[in-house]
Amino acid sequence: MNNLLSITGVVLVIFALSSCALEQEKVAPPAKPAAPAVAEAKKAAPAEKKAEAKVKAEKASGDVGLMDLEKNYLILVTKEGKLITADFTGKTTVTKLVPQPAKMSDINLGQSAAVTYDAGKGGKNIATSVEYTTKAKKGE
Amino acid sequence: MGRNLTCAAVILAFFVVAPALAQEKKAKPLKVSGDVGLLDTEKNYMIVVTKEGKLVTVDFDQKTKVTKYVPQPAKMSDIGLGEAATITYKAQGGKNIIDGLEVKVKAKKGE
Repeated sequence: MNNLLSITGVVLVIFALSSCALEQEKVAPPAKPAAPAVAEAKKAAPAEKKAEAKVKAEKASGDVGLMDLEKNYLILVTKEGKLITADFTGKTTVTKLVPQPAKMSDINLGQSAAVTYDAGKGGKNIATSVEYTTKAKKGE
Repeated sequence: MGRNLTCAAVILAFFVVAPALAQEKKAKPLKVSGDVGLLDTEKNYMIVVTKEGKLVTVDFDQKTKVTKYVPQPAKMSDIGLGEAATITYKAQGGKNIIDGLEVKVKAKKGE
């Protein structure tokens, strides 16, 4: 009788332990994918920040329509007639491009240039003017 | 009567043909911007490569005016209204903040 009771007890303990283990096994799998998700989120965050920083820098060309030196802002009128209001600070770098006479031999390959030309007779284009901008030396 | 008609016809013809001739003489100068892909100072020609990848071959001679624009530091107060400018800016908190500004100084007549 005692043997039967002890065997039954042992079986019950084994059953209880094994059922707990099975439950753990069933619960465990969802925990695994969570870790990569967190890692991906961590990786994505700096990438998004970089993308935002890249997107924000913009360039616009046009004529200065308004300049307020007291309120530190200007309005740029683009060729398309769009008005861009922008503020400037003490950190804003201002550069003026001063024209100077030059020779064709001064122009380097790969340099960006604006050429005005006449489409002459005989299918030849004759340049009337060539304008190019030299790069600022480091430290200027 | 016949003479008058002839005169009128000649005058009319003049007004019709003259503008066309003037347009031919005053062909608008073309402008191209891009990178200098080739420059031959012996054969006096250059090839400009546009942003779109188009190649434009242009001849030059002694009359071709060459101007280089040299960047120099300036102040905001140096900039006049109507001057051509290029700005680099960032949108921050609903405002556009200028990082850099370039102004092209117009060449004086005769330069």
